Amino acid sequence: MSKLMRRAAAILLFLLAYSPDVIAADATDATDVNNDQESVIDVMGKVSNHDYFELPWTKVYLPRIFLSEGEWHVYKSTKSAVDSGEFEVSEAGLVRTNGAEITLDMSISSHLIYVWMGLLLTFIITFLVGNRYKSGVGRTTEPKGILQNMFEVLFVFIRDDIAKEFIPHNKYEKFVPYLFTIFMAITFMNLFGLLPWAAAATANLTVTATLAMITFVLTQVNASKDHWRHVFVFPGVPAWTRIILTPVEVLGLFTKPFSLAIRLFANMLSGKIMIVCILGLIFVFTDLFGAYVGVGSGVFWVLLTTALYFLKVLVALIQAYVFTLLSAVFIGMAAEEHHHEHDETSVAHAQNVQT
Amino acid sequence: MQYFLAGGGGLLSFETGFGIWVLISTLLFLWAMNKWLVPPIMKALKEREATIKTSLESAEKALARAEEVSRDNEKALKEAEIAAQKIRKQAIEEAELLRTERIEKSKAEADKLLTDARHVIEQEKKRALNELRNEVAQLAVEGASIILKSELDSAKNRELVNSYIEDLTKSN
Amino acid sequence: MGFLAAGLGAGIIAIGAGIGIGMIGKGATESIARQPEAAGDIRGAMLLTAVFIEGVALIGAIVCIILALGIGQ
Repeated sequence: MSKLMRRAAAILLFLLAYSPDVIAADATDATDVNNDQESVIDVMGKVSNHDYFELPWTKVYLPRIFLSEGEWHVYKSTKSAVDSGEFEVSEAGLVRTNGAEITLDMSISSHLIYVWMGLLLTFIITFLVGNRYKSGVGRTTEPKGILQNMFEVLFVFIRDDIAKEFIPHNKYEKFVPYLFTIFMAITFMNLFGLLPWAAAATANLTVTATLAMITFVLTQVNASKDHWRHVFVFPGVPAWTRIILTPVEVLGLFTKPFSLAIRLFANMLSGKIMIVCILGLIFVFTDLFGAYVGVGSGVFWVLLTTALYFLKVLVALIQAYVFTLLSAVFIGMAAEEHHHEHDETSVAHAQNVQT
Repeated sequence: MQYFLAGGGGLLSFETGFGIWVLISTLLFLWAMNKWLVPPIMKALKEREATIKTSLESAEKALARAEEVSRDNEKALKEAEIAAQKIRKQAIEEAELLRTERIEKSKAEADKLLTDARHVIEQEKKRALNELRNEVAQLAVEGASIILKSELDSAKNRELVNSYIEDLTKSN
Repeated sequence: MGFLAAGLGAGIIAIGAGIGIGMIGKGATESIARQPEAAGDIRGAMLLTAVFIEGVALIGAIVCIILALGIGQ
């Protein structure tokens, strides 16, 4: 019974944290509904890239770096950029006051910080465990400690179940570092998206597209001759079908990384949007039926959000796994060498007959 | 709505500058992983797997050897048992042979003794008979001589007596 | 009109992906029921196939989003 009471109190506290917003939303919406709607339920703001890094208690503004008219402009934050008089805020972000075009926007953004954090965490863990291996623990004996054990489970999983299974046997070792890195980095990036104030860097198309591009380049660089032969010249089909098949195959080369990028991006984005929208329903209900109905139905929405969070953890891990798996599959498919022994032996046989 | 614009700073756009940052950091990181971090781990894991594999193999080999040894032992034991049985059998047979031999020998000895004894007895008997005959002849001669002295010639009498004794022995 | 197209498109995508993934799930569960010892391999193959279907469905969904919001701006 006391457990139940405690749970109810916890939910009530959670709801109370929202109540000032509820009242504020009521007040602003009463005055001008059209103007300020996005500030209450800022769905896209939760998932998009910002010029500040959000922490539960504060916002840290990040440096802005621009390349404009062949010159680098570096500022401590957006505000200092505006204060310098060179830039001004517009609908599509910062623009030059003199109307010149910004060639390259190399600003450090919040998603970049999360990318770095993901990579850094992977680096730290790998470094720590690597040192343990170097010092001799686990070299001939079993691994010791939680970190090394967990690491080894993941590492051996990537190596045996992903790399070894899908990439030809003589080549797989080269790709284990890459596969392991993207798996760990994507997992960490995805999991950062679970923090209420943080965002998943993988919910940004740029990040996933870049990762997919690396996979694409790796695939093509390591492709065997047979791969190219199967793309452009089809052994064993009539010549005229090449007119249809070659464009399809060439298109197929590019749809693979494209779907890889879109899959990860859409999965991570939809999870965050779904949670924000469901919590946003509290405010929608408040708008429609008043504060009491909004807060009352909040119990249900919060429970639903909790369930969704479990799903999101699962999705975060599965999508990291899927990205790694598909990378391995693509690399393996391209690196595979088919043996056309049948053709060659028949040719050799014909030559023998002639001589 | 600007977030969704597929052109500038939107949700579905590719931000070149950000992409370059991500690419640079990821490639740097991948390079570091490839160069320093992962190879020692791979090597350690491989080493351990090799150790485990070799120890497993050696354990298997040792097991096989132990099995072989035990099989050999069993075989040797069986052979030894068979040999022991053989030896026992032989010993028994030899003993039997020895016994029968000894029995036969003793029997033969006994027989010999018996025949010897019989010979002796026979000889003794013959001698005794001869002695007796001589004695009897003497006696008879003496008796007859006495008689002859009294009535006849002793030579004729002795002949008589002798023939008589001859008859006596024949009938005997 | 764009909203209508996006809504209809999203619905059709959901139907298609649902049927596809449902069939994969059916096949996988039946196979696992028939051969419980091969559950691991089947699960891997199931995930791989489901992921391919999911990719196509998500590309469709993205097109719908572009449709819906491209009209709106």
